[in-house]
Amino acid sequence: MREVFSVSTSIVEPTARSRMGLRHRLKALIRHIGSWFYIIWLIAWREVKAFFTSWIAYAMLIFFLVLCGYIFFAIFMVGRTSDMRYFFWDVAIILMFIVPTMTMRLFAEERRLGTLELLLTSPVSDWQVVLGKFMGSFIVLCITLSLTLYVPVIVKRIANPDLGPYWSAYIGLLFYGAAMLAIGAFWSATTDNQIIAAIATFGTLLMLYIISWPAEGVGGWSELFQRISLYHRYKDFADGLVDTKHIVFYVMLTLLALYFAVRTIESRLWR
Amino acid sequence: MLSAFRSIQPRVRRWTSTLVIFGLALILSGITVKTAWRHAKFEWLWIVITSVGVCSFIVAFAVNYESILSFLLTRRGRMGTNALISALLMAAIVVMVGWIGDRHHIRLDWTRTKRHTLSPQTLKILKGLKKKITIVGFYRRDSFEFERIRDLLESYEDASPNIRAMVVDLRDNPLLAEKYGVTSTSTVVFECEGKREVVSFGSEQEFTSAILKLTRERKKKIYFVQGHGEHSYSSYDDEGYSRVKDFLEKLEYKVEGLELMRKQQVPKDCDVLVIAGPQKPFMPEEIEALKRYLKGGGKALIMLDPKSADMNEVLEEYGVGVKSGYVFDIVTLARDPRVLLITNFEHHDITRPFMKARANALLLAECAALKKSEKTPTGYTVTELLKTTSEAWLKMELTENIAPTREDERGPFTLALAVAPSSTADGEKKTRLVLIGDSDFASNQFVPAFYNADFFLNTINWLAQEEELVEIKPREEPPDTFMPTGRQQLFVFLWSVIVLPLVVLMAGIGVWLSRR
Repeated sequence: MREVFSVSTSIVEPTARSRMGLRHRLKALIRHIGSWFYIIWLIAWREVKAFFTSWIAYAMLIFFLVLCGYIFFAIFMVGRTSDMRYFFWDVAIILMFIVPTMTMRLFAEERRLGTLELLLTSPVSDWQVVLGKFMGSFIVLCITLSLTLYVPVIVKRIANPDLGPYWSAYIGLLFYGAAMLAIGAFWSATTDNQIIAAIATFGTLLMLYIISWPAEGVGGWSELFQRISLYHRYKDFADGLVDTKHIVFYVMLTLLALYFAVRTIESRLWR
Repeated sequence: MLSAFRSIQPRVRRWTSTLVIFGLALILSGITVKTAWRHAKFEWLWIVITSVGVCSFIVAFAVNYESILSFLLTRRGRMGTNALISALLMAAIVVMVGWIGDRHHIRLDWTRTKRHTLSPQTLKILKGLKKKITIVGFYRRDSFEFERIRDLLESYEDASPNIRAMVVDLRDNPLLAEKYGVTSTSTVVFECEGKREVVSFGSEQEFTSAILKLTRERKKKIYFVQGHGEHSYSSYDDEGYSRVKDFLEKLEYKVEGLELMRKQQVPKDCDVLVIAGPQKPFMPEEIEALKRYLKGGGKALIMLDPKSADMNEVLEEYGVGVKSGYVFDIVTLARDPRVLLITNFEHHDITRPFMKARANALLLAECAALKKSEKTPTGYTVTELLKTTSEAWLKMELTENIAPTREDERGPFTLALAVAPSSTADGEKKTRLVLIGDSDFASNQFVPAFYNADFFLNTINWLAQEEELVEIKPREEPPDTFMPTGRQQLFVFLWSVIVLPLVVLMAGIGVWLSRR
């Protein structure tokens, strides 16, 4: 029966054949895209595993958790309020210190060990390498942030909080964190020294944080400075406001930094 | 010309690096002079400095043009230029998308009290706006208020096409400030058809009030009848109505007292007459005056307690009245059984916002039951607004034992009624009447409770035919505070500062051990 069917389609209906071909091509395209993302996922997962086998990961996590925990205790138990706006503002500041530890090794370490060439000469594109490594550090960020999820749980048990701003703050932290990670990835791609990558990342983030401070006296520039300040935009999220203009800003900044990272990696071909 | 250039080219070329550094330094100092050192006499200075810098750059490039060109033609040169241009393009695209995203954005307010969203009342007023209003806020650009006010005014702009709003810095726009007569910062000016309103405290309530002030044709007047032991509209006591008066004045009503005994008639400019729990009976002349007022299309809010003066003579013309006795219900608040918590709202324009709201309740103290005659007078409709539960009972006397007995009449009792001309009636009669079986709920003591203030204001707004004001304000929840026990404090400290980091440390040690 099946043979008859296949014969009839192949001989009698040429249009059906071409449709089959189209479906075939579509399937192949989907498989191609799927494998493209699968490679990104493989690189990302390799990054995550590598990160959590190093001591830096645990030192960073303990540092982060102790600070967050103490601030939470101070605001919640001593301040006696379930309004966690200030807690989430502070988490964003602490993130600024630990993001460089998440990104500094991405490219710098491999470049120092000479394994970056290996990765780049393998049949994966530069975009895949950069996106994969960025995704790896983003997963690390998600794990780190998820360790603070005990905050809404405890507050909900003891007080009567308005949880909306909590979730908007977490969404804000993800976008804000992604932009910081992308900047870190870019700096890591420029050098073979982890320390330099970390310092440059921290310096850039600090600059983008304080840039909104000297608003007075600069005149018309102050608005521009406030617009490019990473932290200034994040504050709205902790206030319970999810504004698409901030999300667009963070996504655009992330894309730009990743694009520069790809260009920097590519520059090995002509430098 | 060209040969002269050729002859000096090698000599100048030796100075290339000096020229580049010199040019860069001049351009930078030119920009610094432009931004930092503004002097009217030396306005041209920065142009000269910068152009000399640019010239030295051009000379440096000109004498080296062959080597620059040949570098650009090499593989490195081509790839490098390519990378530079594409990076600049990418940056330009990103800036553009970001700019568009900044202009066209959606704000989602995730707070429970909708802190960042305009209240339904404001939205209703803005929707009904027919005149063009210009709003200019003067705030320091570096102050925290600047953005808050800008966002707030932006949502006003979004709500009505007739509003144009902007926030500027007084120092940057002295001409604009002069035009609006503003001399101090943190001021918002509302302008409508030449009329101006200045607000110096930036909150939604003040802004909406300013818009109302500008667009109202005339202030509507509310008279509170005095002289029979009614609640005083100006008294700050628990019994007084001063809070209610403040609310009404915020909504741009004019509030006045009325001694009916002396005037013998209700003034012509009265938009709403309020009788709040009279204790002494009305004189026959006063009753006549009230009847005349209502018959002539007057609007009145009459609140009567069980012990209040008998006004059934006025009321029965509209098919309503008051039963004698005290209402008790099983749903009470506090220990006092006379205080009723009312959650049964019937369908009416006044109560509609309460039925939409998630939590709605009123607190009434010592209520009288109302009655509605079998036959409604022609041309009018009577609507019940508030009801007790069916478990409620009526006691004739207020004694120690208030438990229901067999003889007591059982509920549900009506506690508030509204009388309005039915839609089929001719346009002549415009009488509106609201009768409430309690006058304490709007007193200074009870008005902050639950939605009491909103109920009172909605009733007045409905009577004054200001339908767009009939709404309830979102409740401003006080910050959630609590008293943690010592045990809770210890738990939170141990868990967040010690236990969780320790768990992570153990995980780290575990990974390290397994890799060894």
